Amino acid sequence: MNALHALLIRQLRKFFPSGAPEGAAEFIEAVNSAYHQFDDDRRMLERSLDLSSQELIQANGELRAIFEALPDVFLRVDRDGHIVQMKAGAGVDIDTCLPPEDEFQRALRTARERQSLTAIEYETGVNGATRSCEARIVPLPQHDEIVVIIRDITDRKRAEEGLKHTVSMLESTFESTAEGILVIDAAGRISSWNQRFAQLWQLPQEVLDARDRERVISHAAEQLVDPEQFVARIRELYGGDPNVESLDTIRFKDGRVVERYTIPQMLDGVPVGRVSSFRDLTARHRAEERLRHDAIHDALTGLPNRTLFMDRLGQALLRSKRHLDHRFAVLFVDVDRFKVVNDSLGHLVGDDLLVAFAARIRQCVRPADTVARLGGDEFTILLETIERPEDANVAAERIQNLMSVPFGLGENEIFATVSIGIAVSAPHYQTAEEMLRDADIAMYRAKSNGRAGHEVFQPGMHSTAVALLQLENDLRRAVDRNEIVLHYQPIVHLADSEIVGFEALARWNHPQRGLIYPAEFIGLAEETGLIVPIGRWVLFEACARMAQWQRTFDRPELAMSVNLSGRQLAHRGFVADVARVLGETGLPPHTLCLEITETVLMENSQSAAESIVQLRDLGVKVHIDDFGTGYSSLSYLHRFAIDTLKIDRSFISHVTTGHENMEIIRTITALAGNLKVPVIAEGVETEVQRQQLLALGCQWAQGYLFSMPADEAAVQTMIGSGRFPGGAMRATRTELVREAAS
Amino acid sequence: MRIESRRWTPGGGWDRVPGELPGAQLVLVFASTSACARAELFETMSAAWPLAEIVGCSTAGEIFDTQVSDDTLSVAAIEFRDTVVACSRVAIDAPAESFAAGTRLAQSLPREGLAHVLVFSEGLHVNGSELVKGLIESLPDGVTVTGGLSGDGHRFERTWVIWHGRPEEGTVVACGLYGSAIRVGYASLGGWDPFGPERLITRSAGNVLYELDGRSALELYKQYLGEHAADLPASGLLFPLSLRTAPDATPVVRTILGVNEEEQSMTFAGDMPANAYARLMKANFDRLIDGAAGAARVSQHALGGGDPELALLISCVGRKMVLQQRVEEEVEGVRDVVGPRTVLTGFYSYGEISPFTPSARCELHNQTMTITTLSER
Repeated sequence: MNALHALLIRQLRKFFPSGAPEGAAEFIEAVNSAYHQFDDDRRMLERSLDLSSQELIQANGELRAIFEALPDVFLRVDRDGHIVQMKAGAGVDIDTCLPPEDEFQRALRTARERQSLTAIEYETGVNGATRSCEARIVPLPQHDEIVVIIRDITDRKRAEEGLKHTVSMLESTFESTAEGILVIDAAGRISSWNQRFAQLWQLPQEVLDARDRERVISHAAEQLVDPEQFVARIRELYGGDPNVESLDTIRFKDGRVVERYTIPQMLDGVPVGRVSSFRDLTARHRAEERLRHDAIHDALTGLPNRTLFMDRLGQALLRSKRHLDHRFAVLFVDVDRFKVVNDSLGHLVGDDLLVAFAARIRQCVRPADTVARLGGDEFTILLETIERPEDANVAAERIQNLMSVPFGLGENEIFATVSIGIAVSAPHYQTAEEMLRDADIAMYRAKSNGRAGHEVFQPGMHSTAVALLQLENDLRRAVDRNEIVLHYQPIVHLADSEIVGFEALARWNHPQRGLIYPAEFIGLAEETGLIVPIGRWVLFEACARMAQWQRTFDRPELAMSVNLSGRQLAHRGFVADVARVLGETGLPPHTLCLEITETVLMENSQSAAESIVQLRDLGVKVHIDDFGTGYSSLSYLHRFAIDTLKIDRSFISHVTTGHENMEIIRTITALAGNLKVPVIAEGVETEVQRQQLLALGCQWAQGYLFSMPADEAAVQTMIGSGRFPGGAMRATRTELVREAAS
Repeated sequence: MRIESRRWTPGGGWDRVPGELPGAQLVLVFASTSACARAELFETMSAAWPLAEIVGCSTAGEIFDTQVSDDTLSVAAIEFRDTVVACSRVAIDAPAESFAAGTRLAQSLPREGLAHVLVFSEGLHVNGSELVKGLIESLPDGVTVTGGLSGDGHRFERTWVIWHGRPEEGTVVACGLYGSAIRVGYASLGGWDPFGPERLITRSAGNVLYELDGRSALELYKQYLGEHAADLPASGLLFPLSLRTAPDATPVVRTILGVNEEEQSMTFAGDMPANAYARLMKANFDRLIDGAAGAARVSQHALGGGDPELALLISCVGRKMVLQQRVEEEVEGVRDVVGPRTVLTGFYSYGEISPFTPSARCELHNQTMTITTLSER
């Protein structure tokens, strides 16, 4: 219960000086309580007014301070659009910064209607210079007034324009470069990248959008040959010195090679991140690899070439020097008669054969072994680490077995054989060249042993080769020194043994070694090309002798047979040589017979055909030598218009014992008869053979039964006497003719 | 609709023996916390109206006709002619459960024919805004809610909700009125003026406010209250807050439910979202009283003419504190509008639930006089 209110005490004293009336105590208390409440209420309102006034004064002061501190122009505009208050801004002239009147009033209306902030930008001229300004118009809530704040934004706009231009230029550059670019900020977050980067790393958009560096790294690492190294390098780059620049190469599993160049991103001299650019070097890298590869590989077969082979061989040699028990071998492989394929089927087929051949021999060696093509049809194999020398033989046999299957090249099915020379590592080898030379020598030995075989190099072969070299040198001089001499073997009429001609056979009268037979030096002469001058000399000599004999013995029907090698036949100007020789010696062309072997004919079919036509135009006869040993195709007899066939001696020597041989001879003579081509049997040694050949319809023959090849003097005796040396005088042809007629 | 209105006072007991309308279906009881403690009063009521749903709550002042008193019990027993009543209850232990409690309560009422819902809620440990949101979301469209949060005088210690004729703590009761005969009007008006600067809520959580403009809100209140600071939280009702959540949103009024000196926080009867603007409000005597009469007019108008049979007045404890001896003037103002025949009942609450106007969304209010008028066709 409250004490009596002071006002109530005064009132009671004034109106009831003698004391309050009886029974009014409750009423007086209610009035007292109300007086007190009113006082309370008044005090509270007074305090509230006071407090909120203070708060508002403080807030007003703060706002005024902010207002004064603002550099902007400030205007208060009344409901009619009149400026009622203004404050100048720092460095901004009020009179020149106001918006154009129309635009200003329009904006004021808009702001008032919307009761929200409205901003306009405009340009205004100050002393001839254009300034950009911005006016922000804010209606005051519950007022009709509007506040306008004007700011000079010329510098900001200029800076923005400049920035926009720079950003646009950088963005275009960023996207137009062929390099993938990634920018990481100092905190290790992805701040930027270009599309090329995304392509290069095949990053899905959502991975990039997440800007999660760890996801990008793991996605990238998955594609690399060495992801651990890649991740470690990134940790190093982003965990270490931020100033580091670096260049390295990243290899992808798909074969791509990318160069990474990374530099710090600097801002005011301080690194604020890192820019990495990724350049795809795959094409350049592949080109370099290609060049490196091409330099040491054969373009046709893709096999290592001589350079690489010699390098590997040299290394193998070094290894064997360090480890004495380390053995290896070199195989020198040469395709037999490759030239035939090239000449008959063309170079393209020849190349195909080499490629197929290369693939086939690659199959029969171990991966560590090296198969190389030295050039032409020459291949070499380096067999690394062999247990025994015989292993090389096994490898050679494997290769030769593989050759039993024909090569199917387009329409052609080609059988090829190879000759293989083997050189096995040995302590005395100092250079790769020595070893290769020995394998080469062994290969020649294999070839001269009848091809399709292999030979291991023996020290003796070297001396043989050296001897061969000596022989070659000697042979070069032989022509000049008239060491080549001719022997002649008569060709006789089988029925009456009458001499119808001679075959000229070259002999080399070696000053130290005595008489050397053609088997020993014609091959060498062919290889070295000496066959051409030798052949030319033989032709001239034979023609000159025969012309002389025809005159001396008045036997104009006698003919001279001269052997031709393929090389001679292929030689440009050969036909002209023949014509010149005939002219110089005066030998009637029809008495010159040029003998060509089947093999030569087939191996040089194109050039041979042309030459044969020209020779026949000269009137010269063409004989096929050694018929039956080679292709035995009668079709070319017709094609080349051959004059005579010479049946090889191998058929004749067994004619009496082998029924088969007889059948062959019978067939040959029958066919030749049909073609009206006469037949000469070679190597007739016995009377029995003569009788049988006669019975088979063979017209002519040569052989020991009649005479061995004889020198010029013996021949003259033979012609003059009509007798063979050491043999009985045969019935003359005329006698036989007479006999037959009777 | 017939109504039996009774009053119990500590000095005089029951003004008349309860039970004139033994067939009443709904009995609304508004009792002081001291009266709530008297079990015999509730036994008497249960016996007097055996068929009725007896619901209500504790108060910060009971309204009986035009009288406002403390420590009494005011009862209105209603016998509807055509209207059906269904009541439901949920328990609530913490303010965070408020939304869920509202949802459950709404779902527990049958939907068919539901016309209106009266709600009486626990008054201190509840987020009234969330409770109302939960109710509105789960009730059929067009069904409105009116009611209030129970009170505890000026003490703010324990409140009670009456369910099945017995006071309970931690309870919310809903009373559904069904059928087409019932006509309901409602309105809510304040009479408080904001003053002083607008302040930004810089720190809050749910309905707990910590800072305004970066300063302790409790400190600000103490400054303004002066010697009355000692009477917090009740004296906080003298300065409710006007809350504006968006620039063009209608401000709502929030009153204090409690203070926490340790946390320097104040708990309000509804949400105090951060970044909303708040202004202190002060009472305007004349507008308080006019406001009550205005609410009565709006509410009556909503009935479409004719005097209502019952007016349920739920007014804020804050108004009672300000008006003090003159508090009855706002009830008399209502009487002047509704006419002499209408039965007036109600209570002073810790929060009022109603739309501001018939077309507005139902919300929790503070510091208002909320009137729900009922009659049957």
